[in-house]
Amino acid sequence: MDWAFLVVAIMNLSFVLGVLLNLGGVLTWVERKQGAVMANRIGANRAYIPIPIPQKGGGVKWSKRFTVMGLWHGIADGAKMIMKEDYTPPFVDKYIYNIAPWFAVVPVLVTFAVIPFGGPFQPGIMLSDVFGLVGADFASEWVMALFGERTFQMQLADLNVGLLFVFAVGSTGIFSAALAGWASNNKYSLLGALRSSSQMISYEVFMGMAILGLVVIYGTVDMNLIAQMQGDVWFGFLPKWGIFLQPHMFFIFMAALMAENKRVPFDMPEAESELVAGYFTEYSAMKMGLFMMAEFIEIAVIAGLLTALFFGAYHVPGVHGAGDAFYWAAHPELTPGNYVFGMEVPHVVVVVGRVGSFLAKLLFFCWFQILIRWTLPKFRYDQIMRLGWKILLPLSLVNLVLTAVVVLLIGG
Amino acid sequence: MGTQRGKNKGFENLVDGQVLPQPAYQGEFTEGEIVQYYNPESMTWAERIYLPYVLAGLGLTAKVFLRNMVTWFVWLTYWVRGKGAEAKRGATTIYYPHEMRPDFSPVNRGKHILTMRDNDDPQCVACYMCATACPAFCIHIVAGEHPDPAIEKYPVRFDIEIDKCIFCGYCEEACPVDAIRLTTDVHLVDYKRERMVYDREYLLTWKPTYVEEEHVYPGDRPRKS
Repeated sequence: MDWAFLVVAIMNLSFVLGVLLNLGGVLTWVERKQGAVMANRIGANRAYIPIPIPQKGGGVKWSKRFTVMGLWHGIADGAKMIMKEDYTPPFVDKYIYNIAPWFAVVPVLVTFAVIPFGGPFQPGIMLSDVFGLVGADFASEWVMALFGERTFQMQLADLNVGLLFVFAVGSTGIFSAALAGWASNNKYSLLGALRSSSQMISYEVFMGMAILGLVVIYGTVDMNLIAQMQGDVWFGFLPKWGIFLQPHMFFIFMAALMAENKRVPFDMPEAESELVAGYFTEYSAMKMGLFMMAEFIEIAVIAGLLTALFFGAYHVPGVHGAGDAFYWAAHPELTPGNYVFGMEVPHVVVVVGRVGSFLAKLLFFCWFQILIRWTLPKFRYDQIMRLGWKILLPLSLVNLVLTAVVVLLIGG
Repeated sequence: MGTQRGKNKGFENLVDGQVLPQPAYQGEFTEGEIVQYYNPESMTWAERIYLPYVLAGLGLTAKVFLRNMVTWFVWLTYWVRGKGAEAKRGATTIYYPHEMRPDFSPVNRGKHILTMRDNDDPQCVACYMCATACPAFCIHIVAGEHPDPAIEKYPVRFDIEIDKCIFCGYCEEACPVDAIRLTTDVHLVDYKRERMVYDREYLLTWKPTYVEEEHVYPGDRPRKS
């Protein structure tokens, strides 16, 4: 058995799940607080964890001041939703009603499997450096015996159909809304389900179309390769990121992804002012919480996708790791190694810096999506459909054709 | 034709493009003018593809966000030195009732109190001057005979319907013995209308309606009605 691979897979998995699930909770706080700061308000800050303070004259006074800027509100939400009565209305289709929330959560979590979040790394060299630094030589020898100088990818599944996998899994998210609305046996839910189905199917069409331009340029749908190709620079200063190749498609792709997430300004399926809560009107307790959790985790997943495809994934300009096979193959005059602007550094510096850079970009796009959510008003339903089919889809098609022609002319 | 928005009210039934036989209103149409019953397309191309204006709006909100965050971080550098009150905060929110607005008047007229003699009896001599002066008729006094003949009368009951009070301060001015005063206490809220009648004992306690240390919110205060 390949123990080294298993250990790396478990490390990757725990990192991804830890980041995603925690972001799902933290983003609820970010959403509240950022909306407040944007509107000159303070935001939710009342949830507290009571701290007992012994009094001089005996007895205990419970302080209510440990609020950490309202960070406990997310925990309070979760605790509330878990402890509420999980009520199943008598008129619903029980089986589909119960299974629908999982169709919301699972695709969102699975999508992140193909997103490269840290690039190639050599755990043997990295960990033995670290252990050598703290003087644990036996641990250094042990990790070197386990990993050797093998290079692994910081990616859960290094699929050669990466981008197709994203679309395949992402489209199953439609089932959650459609099944939830249909099984709820409620007119509001049904209307929400119909809206969400049509909206998500429409926007999925040109979500694929929009990204095809980049695929034509890169010549692959392997997310890991796409990420590696963005590690170089043009003219010595401009990073080879997707945003500089197809800046216009970035906006269209992001609009499509946000429409997939069904958040403001594309919140037709929920439309609180019209349809109560849309397709999950009949849901309560943690089943409803699963829908909300999926929504907030999907913010992070969308941010990860945008980062990986358009903003150089984990790359920082000028930083190159020993495992960057693509970069060293493109520059045979250079000696492979770990460099930060030409200066040789330990491998661990490159790896930590890259994971940090990916997380920073990811958080920036989370911030950006929440900024959009608190800025733009909701579209009308016909506006969404017109924007999708009459403007964004033709634009994507024209872009695809033009990109293909240009790539043919200049020879890829 | 459908339901086009009529530019001119009262002419919705006319057919688009119809030539009016005579001027409808003075100055509205001239004879022979072709009437348009819909607004002309007023959105420009840039407005119809949303994106430039979406970006402009995002820029505006992002600017406000960044400005407020910078203000908060500057405030934080003051706050860690214990001087948080001096710096500007990134929000216009005021933590009522923990803090009052800086322009809250120090001579604001609020909840009434009854002053006391040395033996904690009310200063009031039940002369009904305040009840007579009250334009809202919210003071109700029941007088009793005081054992001390020098004082003559005292209030057996002294009720102020605080929800009727208009805080004009006439009672304070009318009082000959300085027995009733208006404080600056404005947290006059409650969940029950019956408890908005402040009785003699409550007015004599001088207890503020909101006490920061007890962390009691207005309306939650324990009080026998």
